[in-house]
Amino acid sequence: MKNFEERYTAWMDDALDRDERAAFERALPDPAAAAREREEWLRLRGLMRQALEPARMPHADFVNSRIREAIAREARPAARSAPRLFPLPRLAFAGGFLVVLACVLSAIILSGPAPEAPTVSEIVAAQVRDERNRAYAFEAPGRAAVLWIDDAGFIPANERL
Amino acid sequence: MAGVDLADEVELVARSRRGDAEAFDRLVTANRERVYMVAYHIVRNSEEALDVVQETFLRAWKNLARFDGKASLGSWLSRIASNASIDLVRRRQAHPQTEFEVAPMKIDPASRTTPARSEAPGESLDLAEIRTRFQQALDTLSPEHRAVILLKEIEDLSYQEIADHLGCSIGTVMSRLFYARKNLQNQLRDLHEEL
Repeated sequence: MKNFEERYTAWMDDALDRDERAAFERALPDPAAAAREREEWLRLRGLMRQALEPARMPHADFVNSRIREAIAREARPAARSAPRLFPLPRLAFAGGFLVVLACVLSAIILSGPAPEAPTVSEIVAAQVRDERNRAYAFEAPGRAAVLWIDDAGFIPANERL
Repeated sequence: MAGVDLADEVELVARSRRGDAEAFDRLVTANRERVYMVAYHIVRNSEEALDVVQETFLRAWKNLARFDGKASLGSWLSRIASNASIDLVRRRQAHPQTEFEVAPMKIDPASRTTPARSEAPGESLDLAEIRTRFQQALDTLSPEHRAVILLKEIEDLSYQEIADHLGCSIGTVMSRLFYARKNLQNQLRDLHEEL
């Protein structure tokens, strides 16, 4: 015991041996006041013990089941939140995205540029029998193709440009 | 430890660490009363004390690997409970909602309607009133001081036992007792002068 508070507490609780007690009481500035205070505390402690009771746990057995449930609850979210490679929402999103991508690509492919002009001109040249007809085709910059048929009297009905 | 000796405790702790819920359940049964006692004397409310008990054992279950066995399991659990209770009181002080619980009066089983009267000392004082005065005075103490004085004066624990429960030195226990007693004496001077 080092400081005054510790020795005073031990003195109040009668936890000092005879020599320690005598030395402590000699060192007190007002031993009579200290003795009076000790008596007052002992009376107050008696009253306190009458008024307040030791803690007794209610429903002690219920506590065990409550703790078991809490442990089980803790374990469940851990299992649920364990990372999965392909969770369902992610798979659905990826599937939807792929469908949309396929549609967009199909549309782009179907509405793509017109057949190459040289191919068309060859078809026309092959199908139009009039020798005077001339077909010129040239590619404009970008995707446009221009077909110019010179002196064409007609284009066969089965030919679609 | 009630019903479990040290060898059993070591074995039960080892099994619990491996996830054996039944072994842990036995440790709960052996320690729940002391954990509740510590919690109750700090939070002063039985429902909240039960919450602390649950939280204490849940923390213990998760952190059993950290229990080194230097102190007894009971001391380790009491310290967890003490810290959890003090945290709870501090949170409650920051956001006051819960009233401290006033313990029910002792009712004389032979009495039909009237509570039993207090015996001497303090025949003229009503026991319910005295209890309320003590509750109010205790509420003004810090949770650490409240725990020390109640474990000493109501539970009749030794300085060493209190130090084990609260995870502090014997010197700290004695020092806290000194100030807690002085505080109560000052607040309840009229009571002990009336005796």
